[in-house]
Amino acid sequence: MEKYRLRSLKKDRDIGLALLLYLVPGVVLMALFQLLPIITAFEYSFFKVNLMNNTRKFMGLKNYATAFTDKEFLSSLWITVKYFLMRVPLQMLFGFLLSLIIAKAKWYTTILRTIILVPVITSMVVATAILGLMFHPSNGLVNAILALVKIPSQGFLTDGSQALWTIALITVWKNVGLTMLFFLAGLLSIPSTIYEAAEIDGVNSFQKHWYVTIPMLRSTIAFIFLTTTIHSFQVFSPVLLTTKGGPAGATKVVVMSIYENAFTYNQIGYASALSIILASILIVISFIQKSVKKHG
Amino acid sequence: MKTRKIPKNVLLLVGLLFLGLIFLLPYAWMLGSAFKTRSEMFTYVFPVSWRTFVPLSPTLDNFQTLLEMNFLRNVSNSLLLSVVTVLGSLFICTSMAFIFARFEFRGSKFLYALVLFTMMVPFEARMIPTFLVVQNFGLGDTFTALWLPWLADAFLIMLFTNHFSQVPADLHNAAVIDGCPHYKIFYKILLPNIAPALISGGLIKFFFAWDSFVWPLIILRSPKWQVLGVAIANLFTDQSIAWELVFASSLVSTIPVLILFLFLQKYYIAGMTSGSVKE
Repeated sequence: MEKYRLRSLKKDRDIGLALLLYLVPGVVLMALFQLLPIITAFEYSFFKVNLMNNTRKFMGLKNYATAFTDKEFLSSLWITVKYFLMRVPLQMLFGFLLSLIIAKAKWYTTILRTIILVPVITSMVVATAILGLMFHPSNGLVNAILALVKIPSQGFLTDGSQALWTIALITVWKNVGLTMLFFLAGLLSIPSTIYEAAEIDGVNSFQKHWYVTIPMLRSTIAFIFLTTTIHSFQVFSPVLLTTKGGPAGATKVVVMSIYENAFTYNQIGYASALSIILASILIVISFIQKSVKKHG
Repeated sequence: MKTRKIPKNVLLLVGLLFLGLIFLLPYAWMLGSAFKTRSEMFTYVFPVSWRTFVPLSPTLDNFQTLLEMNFLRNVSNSLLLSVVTVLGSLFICTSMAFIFARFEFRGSKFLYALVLFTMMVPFEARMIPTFLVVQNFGLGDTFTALWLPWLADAFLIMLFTNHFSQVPADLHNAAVIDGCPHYKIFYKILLPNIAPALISGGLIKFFFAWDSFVWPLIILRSPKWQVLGVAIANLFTDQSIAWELVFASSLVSTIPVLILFLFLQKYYIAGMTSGSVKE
């Protein structure tokens, strides 16, 4: 589409006025609250900062060096990767299956879609609180339901080997509706003639999805994988609300570790260095995804 | 054929019911428990029965207690925060999108790339530095700090830019020929043409602001402006959890967003999926 071109401010006063009114405020806000923090984090990451008496000491790269030998931080990275491995396949598989169920217009599609989306619009605090109470070891609904089928009570969030899984389940329950929507949008963009051709060739419904749907959804799958991965690496509030990283550090994910260093140990400089490391990881993931998309 | 069809339908119905239960059971439990006393709630969890979900002697005591805890202030803070965030971000993001969709100038491509770049670094990775920056501006512990940093939103800018690009250029050109300045064309001609996208974007931003938790938790010290999310979180993370209050407050928090969603669902879906099938 043809755009209006600003050649010089003198010649195109009218365009200049529009830019001043409509571009400048947003750019200023973006610079102050999105870019400046990233720059500030960079700066602080080279210092040891004490917010109490407002002093700081130059450390060079020491904060970064510490991070890569800090057992607690490295373990938080590993726990985040484990969480990613639990959550992403689960959320993508269920999201895909749900989208297949509601892709064809039936009497139940609208109501089912609405129901599955309710957790998506519920606030994270409420979702975590209610599900957290459901998974409560002694008074929770889940153990009560398990008791119906004679399964003994589980510890869930209080059990070191189950806590991370429980948090993954809570976040999948809350977010799977969105994944379903993305898959649905992809499914609806596949031309129906392709399915008709496949049906003439006499494929069964599993083959149909394996050989037609999934290859046709490649870019949708890539998009969902990227967003879910990024969401996994930034998981925080469900952890802060339920386990605070426990039991015994079993759920201390990266952002929890950053938060602790900043607000519990008052290590702002170190926490800034960790933030930069996390941001770098996320940017690298985004770029890998972009280049895969270009060449794939 | 006929004898085989009935069991298949029954199977489908059972499957659908099971699916529905997975997503709705927590809400059923919340709804029932919000109107129970603590002792009644704990009495009927084991074993599970209809009494687990239905209050035998419904009471409003929990809501009464919430009122006494000044919970209404948190609700009104969240409401105000959401409205201010929605209006502010609609203004900022549509106007930036208008420029990106309609104008070219030196650095315009770079600027748009920069906007997209901010999406790659999510809030959690910027949490600490944003806290420091906002503190340094002297905005710590103010209401302004709750909404001002979230107005320029890359997702909304992208959403609106795509929609502005789809408005026929002739509309804009004709207005220019008629002598209408560009700044007026924005709100006289283009904005009304993307009304559905405004609803989508506003709704998404409303849910986002209503969901506020970590940011107000770290940036506010005094309770004056504290929001719903933090109030519920305080009840939930308290040493001796007041379960019945968690349920009652969660119910209060869910109703407004649920009503908005039920009425405007199609706009929400259109907005959320707009970025997923492009390219």
